[in-house]
Amino acid sequence: MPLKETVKNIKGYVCIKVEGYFVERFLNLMMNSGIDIWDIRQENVGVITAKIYAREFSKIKSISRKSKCKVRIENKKGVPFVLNKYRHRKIFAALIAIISTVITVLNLFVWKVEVIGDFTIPIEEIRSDLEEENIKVGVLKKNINSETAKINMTLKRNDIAWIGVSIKGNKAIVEIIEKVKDGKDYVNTYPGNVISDKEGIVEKIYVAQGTALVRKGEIVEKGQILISGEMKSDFSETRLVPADGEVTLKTWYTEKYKVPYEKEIISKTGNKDRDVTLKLFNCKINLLNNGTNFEKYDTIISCNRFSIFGRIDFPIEITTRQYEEISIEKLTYTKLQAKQLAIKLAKESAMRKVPKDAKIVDEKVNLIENKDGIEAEILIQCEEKTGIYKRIGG
Amino acid sequence: MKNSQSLKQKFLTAMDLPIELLNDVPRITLIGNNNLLIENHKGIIEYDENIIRLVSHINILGNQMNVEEINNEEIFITGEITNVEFE
Repeated sequence: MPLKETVKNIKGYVCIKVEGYFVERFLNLMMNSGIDIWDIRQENVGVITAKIYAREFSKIKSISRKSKCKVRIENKKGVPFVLNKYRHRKIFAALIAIISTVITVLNLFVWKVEVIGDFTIPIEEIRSDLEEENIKVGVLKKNINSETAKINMTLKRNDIAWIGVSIKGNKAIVEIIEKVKDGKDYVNTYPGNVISDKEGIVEKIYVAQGTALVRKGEIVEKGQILISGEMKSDFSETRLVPADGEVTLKTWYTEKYKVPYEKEIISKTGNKDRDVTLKLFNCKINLLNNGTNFEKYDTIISCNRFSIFGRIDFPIEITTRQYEEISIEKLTYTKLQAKQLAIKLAKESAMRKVPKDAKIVDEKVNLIENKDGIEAEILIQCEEKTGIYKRIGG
Repeated sequence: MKNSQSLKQKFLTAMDLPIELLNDVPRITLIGNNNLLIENHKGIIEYDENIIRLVSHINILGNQMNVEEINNEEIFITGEITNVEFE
């Protein structure tokens, strides 16, 4: 068994030769005094070889005397004897210690930064950016925080789509994928249509290539084809081209907002009361039970269950019931104030709907007055460009 | 003595316990004809390549037999075993 052998090797054992007339007695005595002995072999009549642990050899003397056997050491094996052999070679041991410490210390550092990936960014720029993120030759491995370095690099550089930082041995491997440039100077070569991504009324249409399918004043829906890639001709066959052009749409955004003349505002006074209940299995014990004297209050109930490592639950539960006093104030607006506020809030929420690149052409406000409040309806008219290229059959 | 032993035996059979729990009986495990393990052997009387005699009245005959391990409880013998006999 290899495991047994290794244990014996580590402890160190000796091969002994026993000679005498009463070898059996010797074995019995060894057995009775609890000394481990193995691999017993007969060499001749009255001569056997065996193996015992080196530490137990000193116990043998009395046994050999009792059994009148001669014991001789044939061989010494195991780690303790090897170590003993090198006991006097101090420089040798010191060198081994020095080399192993040097290797472990050198292993703590990064000795090479490798940048992989197919990119057009000058590598010196990337290296200098990496140096700012503490990824450079001669830095302690544990000082490199690859997660933050990744985030900082992608934030700093706009031309990097993805970056991976990993440390393998003494190498820091940085993998970079460059962003593909915007599709503006990218020419469509496949036949396709220009479709709308918005709803609205066509204001202007300019066709560079293809056939216009809509006219000024026509209502278009989302996904409708504006410029078709099919070119019909009286003189030749119908052919397919990549449609190109620009369409301007009129669009509207509306929003309503109602402001009442009277409004209740709820605020906390900061006064608090609390009850605490302990729950053991199914029996409840009130630790604090005062209730509350507040006229108006919010109740917050929080439950705490005890558990070990967040896994094993105990059947003990502490429930805290917190009362927070609240006060209600009434706020009144005059007609003018309510009107202004309603218009302002309606416009704000309508502007949120309007896309950034849209041009605002007109604004209309419609006010509806009621008994209890005022409602403002706002309509914003915009001009927007649309047109998304879509491949035919793609 | 004999009476108490039989009582012990009765107890073991009644409780469905293995019979080797009786103190003085050796237990012999023989694997093929070259591995022999004897528990409760009590000691060696004679050791030779061709014969091993144990205190618990067992003689083992064979060729080129080695004692692989020996301690108070068990003895493990390897080699070509031909006979296991009781005196």
